[in-house]
Amino acid sequence: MSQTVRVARPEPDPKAGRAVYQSSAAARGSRFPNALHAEWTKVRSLPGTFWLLIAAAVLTVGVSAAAVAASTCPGGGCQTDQAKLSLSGVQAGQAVIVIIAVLAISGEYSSGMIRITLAAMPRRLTVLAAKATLVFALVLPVAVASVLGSMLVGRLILPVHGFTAAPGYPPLSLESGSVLRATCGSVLYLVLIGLLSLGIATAVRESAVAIGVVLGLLYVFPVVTAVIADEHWQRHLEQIGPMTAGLNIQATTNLNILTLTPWQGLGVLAAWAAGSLLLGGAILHFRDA
Amino acid sequence: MLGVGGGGGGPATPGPGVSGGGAPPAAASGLGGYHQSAGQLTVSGSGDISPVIGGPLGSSSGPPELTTTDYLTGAFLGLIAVAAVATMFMTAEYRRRLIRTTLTASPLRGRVLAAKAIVIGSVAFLAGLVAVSCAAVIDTDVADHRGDFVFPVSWTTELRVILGTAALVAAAAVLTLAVATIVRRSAPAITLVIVTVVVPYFLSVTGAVPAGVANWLLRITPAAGFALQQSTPAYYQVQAPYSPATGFYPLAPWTGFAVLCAWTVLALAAAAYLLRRRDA
Repeated sequence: MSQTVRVARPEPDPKAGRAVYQSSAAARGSRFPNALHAEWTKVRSLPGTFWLLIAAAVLTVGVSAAAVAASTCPGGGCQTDQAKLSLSGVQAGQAVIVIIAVLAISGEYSSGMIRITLAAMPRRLTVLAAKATLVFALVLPVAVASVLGSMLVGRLILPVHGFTAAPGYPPLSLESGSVLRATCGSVLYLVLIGLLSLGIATAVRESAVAIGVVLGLLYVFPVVTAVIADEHWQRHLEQIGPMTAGLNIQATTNLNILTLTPWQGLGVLAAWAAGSLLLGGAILHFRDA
Repeated sequence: MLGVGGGGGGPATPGPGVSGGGAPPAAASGLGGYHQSAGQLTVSGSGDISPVIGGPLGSSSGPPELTTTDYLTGAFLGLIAVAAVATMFMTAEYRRRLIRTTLTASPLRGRVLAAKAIVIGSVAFLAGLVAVSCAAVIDTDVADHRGDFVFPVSWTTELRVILGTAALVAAAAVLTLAVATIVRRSAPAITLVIVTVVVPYFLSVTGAVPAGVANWLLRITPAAGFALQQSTPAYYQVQAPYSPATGFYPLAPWTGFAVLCAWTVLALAAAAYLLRRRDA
């Protein structure tokens, strides 16, 4: 007669399971420094990233130079805000920053590498955080170079065009508190635009559509504000638009006619960037890649 | 004369001009005025007579007088969406390697590009026409209900604005298709188109660049096509800040559209050459 042999199996130890998971390669890869290293490897091995960063700086300084060269201040004085005029290239350079940030994530979707990335790093929010840190680290030096370059161009060219000390336009200098605020604020502005684009690209996944959505979102508020006649609506649209509010940081004169104070405006843009990163993170977390 | 009953259209004229209410007959006092009797309006005064400038400039003392064009400001957003579709129309073939099947089935590559251009151009034109017509109808209706004064323009001008905006969207779609064929990747294609078509328009209309720079941008970039949206002419005898920010474009409407078409033709020629010469 056969006897059933019972083999005593140990109870599965939940802690042991977690210990196994935490020491497995995938879990090790999901730690933030590893994720950051992986993202950096991906970005620096793409040939286009370096050229896009150069293009962003060149475009910003170029458009600033063009705007500054085209403006004059007749002897009687003018209403121009020197710092804001010198920083007008930021509005053109932001388009290239948008592309850089969008390509950081939608390049993975278009080549199918997202599956490998998420297989190697299952914690998706860590991946997104690493990408956001990398976009921050890439855009920051470019933004600093672009903004300082634009200010230098303004300082060199504006005095030749009539913006001299006599009508109240001393040469642009970072010693002035408001000019320093405009400069640092413009750098932060470009970084926040990059983070906003990253969030939207994570939600949308297609690069062309993401670029269209981000640029449409940025441009719609100023254009609609320029056309509608209702002052109440104009004011509110200017206060909530990411670009219209964010560019308040560049203002150094006539601060009382702004719809928000400079730092409040940058705060609105920061809220937009945070919201888009949250949206992108939620969609990345809950959706199949 | 327009709006004379309500205090004058306020043309920017020197001299007494036309003031509100009936004034004593001009011959007696030498002042300007108007005088209405038996369905006849008699205007008298001294100085230059000039037309009222419509658009966001409005009268010299009144509110902005919007025309239907100002209600079509959203066209640039629709253009971005259509450009995204046109980009994907070409780059999706490259990404999914469908281009091999396409070019195997139709070895005449110029014909493939022409067919794509015709399809995307027609679809964009129809979509643009529907969108712009709906916008114009709804906005005029809403303005009527609110009692806003819509600056009247001739029906030919309105037709030109509506058809022109749809044609602008179609030309931009074909331009995007050509650029996408040249660069073969969607991100650079749509960025090039947005930077050359939408950004100059945006910088000019919002006054972000000085008027001189804005005028040059709207002459040489494909954004010159937006001149089709100008509904009120600039009168040389009236001094006013004519600039894109106030709705006046440097080129005549169809001249601006011709600039956009020239860019499109150039891009299509380059795309056809590269498509035939390069390995797909």
